[in-house]
Amino acid sequence: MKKEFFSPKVKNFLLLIGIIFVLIFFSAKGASRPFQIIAQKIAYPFEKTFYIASRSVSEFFHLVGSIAELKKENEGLLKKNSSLETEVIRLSGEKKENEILREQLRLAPKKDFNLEASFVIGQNPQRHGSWILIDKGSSSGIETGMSVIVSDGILVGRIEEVFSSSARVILLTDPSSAVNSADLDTGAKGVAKGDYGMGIVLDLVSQSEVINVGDTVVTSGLGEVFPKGLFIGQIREVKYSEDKLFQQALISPKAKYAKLDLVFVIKK
Amino acid sequence: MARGVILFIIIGIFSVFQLSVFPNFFPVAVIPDAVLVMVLLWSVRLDYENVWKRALLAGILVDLLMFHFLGVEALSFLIISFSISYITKRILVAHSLWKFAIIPLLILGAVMINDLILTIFSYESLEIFQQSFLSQKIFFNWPFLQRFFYDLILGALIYWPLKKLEEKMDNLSQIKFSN
Repeated sequence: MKKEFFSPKVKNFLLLIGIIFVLIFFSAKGASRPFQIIAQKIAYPFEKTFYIASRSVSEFFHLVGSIAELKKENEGLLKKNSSLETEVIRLSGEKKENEILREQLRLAPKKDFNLEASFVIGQNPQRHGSWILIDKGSSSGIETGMSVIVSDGILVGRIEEVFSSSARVILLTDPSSAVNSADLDTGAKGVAKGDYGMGIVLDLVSQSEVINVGDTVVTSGLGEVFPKGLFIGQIREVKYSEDKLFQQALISPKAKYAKLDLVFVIKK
Repeated sequence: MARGVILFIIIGIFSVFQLSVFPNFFPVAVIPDAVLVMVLLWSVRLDYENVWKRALLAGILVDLLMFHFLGVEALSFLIISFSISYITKRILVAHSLWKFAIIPLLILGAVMINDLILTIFSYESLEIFQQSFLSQKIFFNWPFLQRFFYDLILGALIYWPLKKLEEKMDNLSQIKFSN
């Protein structure tokens, strides 16, 4: 009797692997999009409910754990509050000067943005990319490519995919993210790229440009993908290299990506 | 049919937990792989012939919810379930107590295979993959070890509930069959 080279179990396994590779191939061409839309539509109410419920539980435990520190923090805040009141009086005079300077530098005034507030209902649990899921979609006028910020005009990402009631936002720390940026203090131009979910790198900065630790990095508005003047972060380390064409810098993001609750989508 | 529906619901719940609940309790880089651990435990307890459909369904559901190319996680789960069924049949047949010593190693191997497959299909160019692999950004870093530890704890927590559920479903189908 002829002995089979592969057992039926192995044949079944290899056949399935072959089918899956075909599936991956067509999915890479966009064939799986209709199924994603259906899955997102079904999962959306569960994702939102579970996220909000678990967020409340997490915050409760965090509060219980930090009670001992709260008293100390409260005393410090009371002292700080009185010095801040003095500061407010001084800054009200500088507000006018700021508006004039922003106009001169042509930085986008935040009050002119048409913002759509959205709650975060999911986050990427994998390590290789960084994205969040928000609870607004095409039914709220959200479109692919729109910029996403948090309060104070801090850029956190852009809309990558839109569904009817939700949307996926690619964060600045995602390796596929690339933002035309500028050093606000020296004017040096570069591209802020995601570093595999670990942080942001300011790359492609010409060796003739000057960048310093502590400088603020904002969007430059080049390419008209992101509005000009949105904050990205501060430079925490500059990487010099004499033999490379460009210099790099590591950026500390202004926003805490792990604690995003409420974001704003800038509608065009 | 009823068993299929129950399994679909359980896989769905685990997927949504991984996406929407765990990020609130764990830092992003160390979120436990809930669905992977569940597939792994099924593979340890059941034959490949009984597990491959569950692995495939779980993989496709996770792909749809996590925005991977459809089939990536399914590929990973199938390879893991096939490998684990093969290993457990040969090593653990006579000494079932060894299961509890070997399961941590199986979880480690499964997490590494899953990470590797996801990395390959996440990057647009092979060069970026090589750079990250050579700089050990994929394995052997502190977040990876933390995640493995949380996967172990999760495996310990869900092993018996999953086993009890399986037994209950078996009893129900036997009662139905005898009626």
